[in-house]
Amino acid sequence: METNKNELDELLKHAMQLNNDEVPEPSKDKFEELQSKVRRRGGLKNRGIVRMLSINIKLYQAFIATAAIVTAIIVLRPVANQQGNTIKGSIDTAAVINGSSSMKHDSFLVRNFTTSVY
Amino acid sequence: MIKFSGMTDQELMLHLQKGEVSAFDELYKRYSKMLLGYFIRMLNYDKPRAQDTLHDVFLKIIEKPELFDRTRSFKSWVYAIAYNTCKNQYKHYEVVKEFNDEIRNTGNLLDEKFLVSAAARMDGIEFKKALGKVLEEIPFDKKTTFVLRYQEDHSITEIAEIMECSEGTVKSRIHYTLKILSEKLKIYDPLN
Repeated sequence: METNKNELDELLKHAMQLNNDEVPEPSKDKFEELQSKVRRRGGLKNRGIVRMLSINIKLYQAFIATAAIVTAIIVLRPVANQQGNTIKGSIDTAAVINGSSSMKHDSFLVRNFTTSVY
Repeated sequence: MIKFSGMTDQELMLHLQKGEVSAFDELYKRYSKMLLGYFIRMLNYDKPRAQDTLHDVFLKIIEKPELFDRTRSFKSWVYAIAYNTCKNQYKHYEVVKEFNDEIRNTGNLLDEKFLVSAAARMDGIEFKKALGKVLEEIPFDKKTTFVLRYQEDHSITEIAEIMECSEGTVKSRIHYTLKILSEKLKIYDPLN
């Protein structure tokens, strides 16, 4: 049984071989075209900006960078909000003290005026 | 000066990634003729199309050398690209013909002894012709499996890796093709 199998394998391998006249030489023009592509890619790779753009970044490096950016945003965000509230508050307070109007106050007056006209 | 001829395929791929033409030349020298033979068989002896397909395969290697996993065999990788390129060719040009599906259900036993004796009774060229005819008629995946096994001399494990299927599938595809061949050669059976 095993002998038959091996014999058949050999027979098939022999029958499947292509003759030399059946397989031509690979096209020289196409080969040269491919060579010039390799050359062009090699040239590009060595140029500064392309080199920088094609830099390999590992997943853990990307993760660390993202974590650092997120932390920075979380740390800086409340400070920015507090500063914003203080400035807004001080404008309103100044308006009350000086007796002059703020933008918010003016728009309220205009809205009421429009309503009474109609 | 670096000597590329003594390098392994994996080392050549590293140099190719750096854009070294000599590394490409060496890889081309090692695999182009082999792959061309594979395409000629797979594309039913359409030589110009086989040349174009060979060009496409090497173009893919040049454009995405980083996709090569250095822990894998280069030969299996390049044949996997060749297999997928050929598959697209089949889809595009509808190379695949209507095939006789009835043979699939003619029982499970394959008489290897009969095949060997039938081949012995035939002239070598005649047997080759009969085999070629069977390969023209069977579906793409079965043909690929057979060509990779007997023409390109890949092991069952390598074929499974190239075609991304199980070893059992590879074996059954080969079995299928041999059964069809056996049916075709019945006319050479003196008892028939």
